[in-house]
Amino acid sequence: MPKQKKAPKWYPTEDGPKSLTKTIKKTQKPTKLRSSIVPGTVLILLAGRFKGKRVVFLKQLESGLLLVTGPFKINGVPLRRVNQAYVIATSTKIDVTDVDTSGISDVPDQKTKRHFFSRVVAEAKEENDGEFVAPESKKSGLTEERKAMQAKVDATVTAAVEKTPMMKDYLKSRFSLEKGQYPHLMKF
Amino acid sequence: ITETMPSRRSFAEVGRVVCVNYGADNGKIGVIVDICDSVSCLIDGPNIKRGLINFRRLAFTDIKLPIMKRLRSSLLNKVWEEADIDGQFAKTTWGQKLKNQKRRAELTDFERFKVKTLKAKRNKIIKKKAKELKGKN
Repeated sequence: MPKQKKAPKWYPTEDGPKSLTKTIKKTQKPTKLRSSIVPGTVLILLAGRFKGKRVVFLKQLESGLLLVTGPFKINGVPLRRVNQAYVIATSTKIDVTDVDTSGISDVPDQKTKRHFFSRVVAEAKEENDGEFVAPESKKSGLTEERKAMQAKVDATVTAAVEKTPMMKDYLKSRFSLEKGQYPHLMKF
Repeated sequence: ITETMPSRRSFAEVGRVVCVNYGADNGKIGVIVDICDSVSCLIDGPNIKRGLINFRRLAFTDIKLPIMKRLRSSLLNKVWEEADIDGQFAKTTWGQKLKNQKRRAELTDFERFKVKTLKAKRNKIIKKKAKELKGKN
């Protein structure tokens, strides 16, 4: 007959101290980037406003999201953040070693609590002489900083894109499945 | 009974080069080394591991190797290389089709795009020319 474990005489009233070996990491690492996604990879966006568009991957931001650009003049996709999960990485790569994306970051600034991609808050306008003024049409929340950065980054990326024949047309086109095409059998 | 043209038929016989069209070895060619029963045979070759395979999984080519039944793998490979069966098969229309199918399956997204647009461009030129020629007549 198996030896029965004796019930302890005393039970503590509170839980014991937490194990010291289990510590919560103070620094959080960004999401692990798929090995197929490398700066310069052409990605196919699968969801959102730009679904089906082929874009150029620039770098992984601190939050883990991917920074991509159309380039804007080629397919209308601006400098944008995209989640890795909603992306197909193709094997096509563009040389973006000359591209400078150091000014773009996801991390909110300590003072302003805003980062590159933060939405621009429309400033409240003063009423004119107590009269009701029709609300100003919402201006596109693009700061000059973003526009300048877009132009700067796109200049180098577009130069690299134009080196390969048909690459520009490729980025212009949208991805779609045709009859007889099965994603699990296709190579990207 | 009307006389019919003798049809060119390949028979399941020792030495018949076959193309596997189902399973792990899909698309590979081998040789029938022995007939097991009415349903299966022993197949071997440099591309295929020696083993029994059902006739249903095979498509016969019209290439035949002069080998004796149950020839040893190493000797079979020698005969195969000397006859250059791989090369012979690659020259046939069938072999070329298989090669193209494999290439198409390996196309990357960019390559697929290029094929699509270039094909469309080519067809446009052809149609334009055809219309032109039709108009003349």
